[in-house]
Amino acid sequence: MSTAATADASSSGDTTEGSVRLLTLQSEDGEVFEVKETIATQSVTIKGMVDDDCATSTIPVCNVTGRTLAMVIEWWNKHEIGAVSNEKELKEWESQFDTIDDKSDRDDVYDLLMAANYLNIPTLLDCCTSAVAEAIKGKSTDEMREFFDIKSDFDEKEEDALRKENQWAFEN
Amino acid sequence: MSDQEVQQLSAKKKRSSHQQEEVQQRQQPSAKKKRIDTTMSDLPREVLPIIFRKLTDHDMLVCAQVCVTWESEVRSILPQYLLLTNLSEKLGHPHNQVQHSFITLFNTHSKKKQEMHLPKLFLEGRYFSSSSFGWLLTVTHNRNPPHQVHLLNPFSGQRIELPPSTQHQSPQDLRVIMSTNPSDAAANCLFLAIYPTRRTFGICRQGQKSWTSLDFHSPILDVIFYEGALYGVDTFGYLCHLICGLKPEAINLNEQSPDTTCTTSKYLVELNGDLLLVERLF
Repeated sequence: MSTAATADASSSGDTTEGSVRLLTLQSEDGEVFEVKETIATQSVTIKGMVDDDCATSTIPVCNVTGRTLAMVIEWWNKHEIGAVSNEKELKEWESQFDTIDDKSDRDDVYDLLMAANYLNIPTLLDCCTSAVAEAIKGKSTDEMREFFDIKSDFDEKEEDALRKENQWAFEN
Repeated sequence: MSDQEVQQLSAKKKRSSHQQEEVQQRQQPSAKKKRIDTTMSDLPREVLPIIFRKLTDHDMLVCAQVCVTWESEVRSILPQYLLLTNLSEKLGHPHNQVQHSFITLFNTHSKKKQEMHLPKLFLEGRYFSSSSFGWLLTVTHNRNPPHQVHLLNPFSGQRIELPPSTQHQSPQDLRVIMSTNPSDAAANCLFLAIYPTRRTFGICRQGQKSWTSLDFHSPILDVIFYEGALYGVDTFGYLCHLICGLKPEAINLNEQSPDTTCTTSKYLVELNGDLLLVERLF
């Protein structure tokens, strides 16, 4: 904990004081964020850009809104080594992302999932895919279509055939 | 950690006036809308298998019925099974009124045994054996040929009718292997029928009405599809590349005589991407 506080103090200035570099990220809707390089490189995509020396100017983060990017940065901050003292506390904090109770949660998880995939953030991708899997569990086909706003693109025959094909294996 | 520290850790935000104007303009029609309108159908396809792999087999099957994209993604990650028991014998009993029966399968992903219901219709009077890619081969038990031949996916229930077999006497005398997973219709799977006791072969594509027989003019014991080509091993242990064109041909690949005892039990096996020759000595 104390180590984290020290590291934080040394980089708390507005400029690249000390050895910590700041990266500028710009969301789809034009919001600009300055993030410590050590934190942002939790994204494999951004790490690649830093390694290739392509992260010197503003990095556009397409398809991710400022609102979502702020959540992603919060995730990075919590997952920086030393930011949270123990695993249990981190899991507790993560639990706000890993369940989908209503459609508003669902939309947040979608947005985070798109961002996690685009930016390649393995921890966040794992958490969001688990949340969606959890939401799928126990639902019928129609409930899933309703909940996830998906229209069936099977024709009637195909759907009938599928239902017959797939259901017997687990029927008694 | 104090709130202040958390604030310090979190990113600093700034927005230029020009960008703010642009955002406001864009948001005017629906002022409250803060997100890009995304739905599950917009998720990149590579994310779907990650989600589906976290589900039980049953939930995975329900997902396959949601839409065309989900169906094809579920089919691409179906778990593979090996057949442990063959229940067709037990069903021959005339007083058996059970509508469904179990077969026991070994799930090669979860490394667990799993019992699965099969409709009596698919089981009755049929002999079961394992085929490629987790599919099962079912062959009818008639006294005389032709015998009906099907491939059955125990997980999805998908059934593929293959041309009837006129060559084999007992159902154990037929094996079928595939070049690709037949659930991927686009791959145009090639089916190879093997009659081990007669050492003859038949080949067909999905939907064809009959097997085209193949004679390689070589005492082939076992065959395998490996990296898109067909290979065989003969009684002397020679590995050959099998050409299945109008003029079937076996091209020997060994330069020297293989160091092998002449046994009748030789098998070609793919293990971790390598092609292995297995010999049974006793």
